[in-house]
Amino acid sequence: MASGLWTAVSGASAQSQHVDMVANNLANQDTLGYKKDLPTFKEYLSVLEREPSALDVPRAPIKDKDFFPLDGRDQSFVVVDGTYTNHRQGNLRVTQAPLDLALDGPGFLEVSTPFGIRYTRQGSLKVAMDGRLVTTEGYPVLAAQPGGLAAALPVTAVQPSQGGLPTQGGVAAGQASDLAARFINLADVGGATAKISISQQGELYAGDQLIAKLGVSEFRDLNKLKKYGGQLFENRDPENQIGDGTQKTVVRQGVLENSNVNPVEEMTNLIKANRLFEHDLKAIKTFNDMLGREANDIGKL
Amino acid sequence: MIRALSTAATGLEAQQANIERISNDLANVNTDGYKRSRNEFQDLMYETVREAGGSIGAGSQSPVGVQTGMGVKVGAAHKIFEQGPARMTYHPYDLMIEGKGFFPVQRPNGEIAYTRNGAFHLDAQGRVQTSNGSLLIPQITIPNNAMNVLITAQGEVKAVLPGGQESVLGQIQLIAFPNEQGLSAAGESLFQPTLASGQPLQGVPGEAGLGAVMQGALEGSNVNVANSMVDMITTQRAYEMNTKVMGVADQMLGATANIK
Repeated sequence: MASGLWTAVSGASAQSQHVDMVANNLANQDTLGYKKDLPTFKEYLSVLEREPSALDVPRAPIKDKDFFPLDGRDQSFVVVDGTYTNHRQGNLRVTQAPLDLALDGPGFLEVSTPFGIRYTRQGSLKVAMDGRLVTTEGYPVLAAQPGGLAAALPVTAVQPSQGGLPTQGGVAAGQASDLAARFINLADVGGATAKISISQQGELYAGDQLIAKLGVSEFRDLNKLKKYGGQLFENRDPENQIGDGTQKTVVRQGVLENSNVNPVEEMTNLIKANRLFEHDLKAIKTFNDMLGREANDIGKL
Repeated sequence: MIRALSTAATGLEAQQANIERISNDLANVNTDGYKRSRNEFQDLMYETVREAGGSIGAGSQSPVGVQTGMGVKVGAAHKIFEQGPARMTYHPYDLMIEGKGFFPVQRPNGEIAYTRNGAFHLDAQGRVQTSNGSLLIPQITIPNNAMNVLITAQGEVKAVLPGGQESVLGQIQLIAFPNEQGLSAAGESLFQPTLASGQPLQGVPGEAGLGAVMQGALEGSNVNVANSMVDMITTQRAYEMNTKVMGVADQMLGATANIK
């Protein structure tokens, strides 16, 4: 009798997870390079209570439930099956700053974190104290090839952290040394005083000197990327990465990609999830009333 | 559901930081040498309920996982050192840097700071200093019989003395930083170096990527009022939407509490 109660509970808890995601999307509606999440729900069957069987018509009396085979499938729960990150391009915002990049297309910038390579579309880049090109969090941005395309610039050895601010500069501690060869070093061209221009193919020039080509990765299945926080994504499957040569992402300098959260859509989802949650609660309440009647009213005259 | 409440709270906090930033920019719309700032938001960590690519039996992997985010934080708030508009004043000690660089000054407490507000004045001894008493480095003293002071684009300070002869009084040096966004704003249009900004690089104006000095002009604030107003509108609405989420979470909690 009361097993339907748990169906309603599963619905309410799924909707409340939906509200959690809407809250996160709305909180990040101004986060550069943020990609919105949306949940998908799945029907989750409870155990078959009774196998459907042929009616034994002449020998047994026919009961009314033989015509409505309730085999447990009428009571399926709902669970959040997956969260899809919508990788649609966010709005572009023109800033005209030389180190602001937006990626036009499905690519990601490669950055080196102490935990391995991560991918991001947050293109507000900085020059760290030692001249390396880093993200806002201080993770070095990687070039497509070791030593950059120019290869003439000496790659400074990995320096241990010099106790700088955690967000910028002094972040090299614990970096893998093979990645260190792909750091982009602007120290020898004067750091931030250099006139930096970045071509649509991601080639980074100081004046007319080619420094490096930015590492831009594309993936076969964007849904396989795992969100890491700080607009970083993690790729667990090396097969997923598309090899060199076929990338079609265009790098735009002086532009930033905003969050792709659409507030109208999110508010609508919020209303929907809120009301569906209320419906589920109403069902729970009805079960409560029914159980109460069963307990107290049956048998009363 | 409880999480939606706190997630919305992180959103409110971030948008509030943004509105504080905008109000400071707008308050300084007429401050010479002021640089507008920018807040960069970052999403917080994610709770991975189910791993993408986890095994679901029979040799196949789940194509997507379940991840719920925890909200947003202000990841960075930094100045944007875009050139401000020139304001002609025709005052001999008003200097503007056309391009990159900062004037090094020594504050009254002895600390070295850097500024792009080139509204200089003289003290009783003729030393060039800012309006809050920070002396220009290297120190330049204008003789009290100088009839006219000329400052070239390369920063050479010359005085025309009675009798018509010119005397070179000094050379203005400009300072650049590898990462000027790492400078910390000290108020009074002054900036101080941090570990993130890197070592100051000294040079002559107009050389090695440094800007030229222009006499008789001031660099106005680089706050763009129209952009700030648009930012304000979007920030306010974003704030509102986050409070709406809070309201919904509250309603849901209330409804749950009232089931019985």
